[in-house]
Amino acid sequence: MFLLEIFNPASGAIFLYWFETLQFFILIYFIVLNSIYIFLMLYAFTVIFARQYKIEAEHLDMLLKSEELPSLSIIIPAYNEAATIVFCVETLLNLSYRHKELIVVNDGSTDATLDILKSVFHLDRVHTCYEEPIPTKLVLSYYVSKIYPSLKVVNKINGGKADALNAGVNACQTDYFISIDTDTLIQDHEMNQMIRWMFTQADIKASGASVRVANSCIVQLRGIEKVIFPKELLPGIQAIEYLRAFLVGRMGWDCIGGSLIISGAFSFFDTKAIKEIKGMDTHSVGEDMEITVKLKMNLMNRGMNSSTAFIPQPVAWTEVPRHLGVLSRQRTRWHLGLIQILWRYKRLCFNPRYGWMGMLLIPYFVFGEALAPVVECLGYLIVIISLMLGMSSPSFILQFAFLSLGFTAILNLFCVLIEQITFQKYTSRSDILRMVFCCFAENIGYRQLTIWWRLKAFLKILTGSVTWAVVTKEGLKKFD
Amino acid sequence: MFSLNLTQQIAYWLIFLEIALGLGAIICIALARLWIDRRRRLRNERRRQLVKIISENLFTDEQFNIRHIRHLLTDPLVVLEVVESFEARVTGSRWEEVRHELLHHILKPQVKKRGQSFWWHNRYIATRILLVGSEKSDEPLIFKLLNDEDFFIRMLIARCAVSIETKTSTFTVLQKMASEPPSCRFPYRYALIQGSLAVHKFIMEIYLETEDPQIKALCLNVMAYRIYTDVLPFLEKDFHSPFSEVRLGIAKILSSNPYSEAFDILMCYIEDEEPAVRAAAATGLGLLQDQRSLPKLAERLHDSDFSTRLQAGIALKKLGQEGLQVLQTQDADINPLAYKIARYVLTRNI
Repeated sequence: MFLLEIFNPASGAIFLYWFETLQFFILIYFIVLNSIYIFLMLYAFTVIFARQYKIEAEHLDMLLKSEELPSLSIIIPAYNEAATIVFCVETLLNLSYRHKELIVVNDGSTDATLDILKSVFHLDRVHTCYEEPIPTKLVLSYYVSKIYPSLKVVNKINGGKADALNAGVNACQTDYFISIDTDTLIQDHEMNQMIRWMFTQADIKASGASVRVANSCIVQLRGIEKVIFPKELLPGIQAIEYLRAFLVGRMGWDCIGGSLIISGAFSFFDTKAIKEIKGMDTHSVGEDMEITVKLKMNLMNRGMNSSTAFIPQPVAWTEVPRHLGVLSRQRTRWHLGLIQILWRYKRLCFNPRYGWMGMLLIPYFVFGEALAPVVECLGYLIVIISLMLGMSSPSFILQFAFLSLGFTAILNLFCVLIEQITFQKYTSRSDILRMVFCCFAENIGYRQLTIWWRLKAFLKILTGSVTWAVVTKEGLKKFD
Repeated sequence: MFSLNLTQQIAYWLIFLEIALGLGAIICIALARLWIDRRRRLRNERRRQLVKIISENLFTDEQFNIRHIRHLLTDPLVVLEVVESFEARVTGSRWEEVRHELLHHILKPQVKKRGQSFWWHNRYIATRILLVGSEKSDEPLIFKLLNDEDFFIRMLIARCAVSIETKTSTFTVLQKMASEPPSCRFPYRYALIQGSLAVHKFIMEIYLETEDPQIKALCLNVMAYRIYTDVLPFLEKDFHSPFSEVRLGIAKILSSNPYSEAFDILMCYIEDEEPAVRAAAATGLGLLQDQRSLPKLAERLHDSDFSTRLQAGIALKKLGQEGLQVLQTQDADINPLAYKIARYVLTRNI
């Protein structure tokens, strides 16, 4: 400031005015966003606790032994999944819910995915016999397993995950379907709880469940055999991030009809509703968010209940990236998808016709999620500039940083507390200690890196290099 | 824009609050862990001891007395779970004696109070107790719980209402079933299907007496799961009901009970305006295997509804050589929809 005034006092004053205004707006942004988080957490805490209390007392078997339960399909899009497909199908066949069929969609794999399926499950080629209301890439063949009649395989030309899911939805003959990734593991009991919840919520057309991190867990054919909190730092931090995102973010937004995202790793849909909106957009990077927004918008346009449900029970477990490079690509892609969808549905933003979704949810996703890395990055720049110009003392900056980063750590700790009171998936002392450690560790380095990765999504849009990044995973340790 | 001193003071307070909250959360995590573990251990221990005592008692001639084990019976949920687990596995006079003791001295006295409680948990326990042992005298409470705001309670108590085997309770269950959205009716249907012959007779009586088309349709829906020797005269008055659900119910009964006398009505239903009725009629005609239905079924291969086309294709295959010929002569270019069905039916073992 002193330097600026020596050279040009007038421009120094203008700079100071704008700088302070920006500082003020960032402070307001920080306060508003954190207030929303606190509200979401309090709501989520109350609902999760009440629901878990209820679920614990329920005698689920009484419901599930009914022969009259609705059937559901599990759709698994597979592209070059030769290494994991058999394990995935076998674990799903082992699920205790009896009224299910499995539809594997081989999306033009170039490896031996289809051959392996054919030989292991004795697939028999049959003619298709279903309506195809959603246009997809050409379906080449259709198979039914001779040993597991509930297993069907659709073989089609490559068209991406959304296209494969659409082909699966076309082949789906049941009222409901679940879409999962091949690396998603399902916990049987929690899945039954989810089914019980969904079948008793007549007007809910879509639902998601908590997705947890499976790295370090002991996996067997029945799914997750022993839950262990990730032993490595990067997956550990992601596990805490997932816990916060699902327990606070997704659950919290249930108070106004559900979040805008239902995780693609595990989602539950009403088949008719998805067929009506012609399935997923094949050009979208974030197909899971796109389908949710499209479905909600369609239901609202027709004056129907547009609520989506979220089940906090940890139903699905997935492997997260263990290396920064892979994680970076994943996060950039997620943010790219978010920006793309918010831009496509920009007319919904602050549109009172779309109720809470238009007036609160979409604006939150625009300002609190999509623009968050920009604002946070600006915050860091302001800190550096004000330090360089002597406008703030280092102790004040330190206080502010402590306050801002400490808030996330406290939010994380409360999520761990919710987990420990309700689901109690992590039982050993070492797991809990690692969880508490990761609550704090997230703020040092990792958080700043995620800002950079998400900013890269903006750069990609500006440079026009929007592509689907491949996220390679190393596979979980399996014990037969 | 802000006074630095005030901002700093607020910042200090907030940091203090954050530290307090953080430490509080860590302490709560530790306490929650300890408390939950202890509670679970205690419950398991009680359950284990109770199971052991009951199991031992089942193989002795000693009279089962709850006086000595009162300390194990303080948690009704534990007692209830133990009774439910034995009920599912054990029968016989010894178990009846034990069951009677636990039910009438520990569980049943709590039913009325819990059933009228404001708390969901209490009403739920009352429902489960009634499910283990309910009597006709419990009917008012059962009816009250049948209108509970919680679906899980309603669906469980529906089974209980069916098990007391009165016409009123059967009718109340049907009424409740009608008030639920279609996707939530399955537990009621299952309870009624599982009902005794007496319950089934009540359903037939209710069908004849009621004028409500929805109740009629639900009665038919449940009846479709049974086999009848002669049901045609019984259904006759509703053959041409203006309500499609009633016609669908009749079509389903006729398609699961192949009577040659039903041929005419099925031939009429195959041209119904409601696609589900047409599909059910096609299924029924397939079972009857009457060659007279061949032209109509061949016509339905071009139906606008997928299900009707498929059922017509399957029925044609069941008609034998003539039906197969119809399927084989479908042309992909002239009738692609019928061709697709024919190809599927001919290649599959249906």
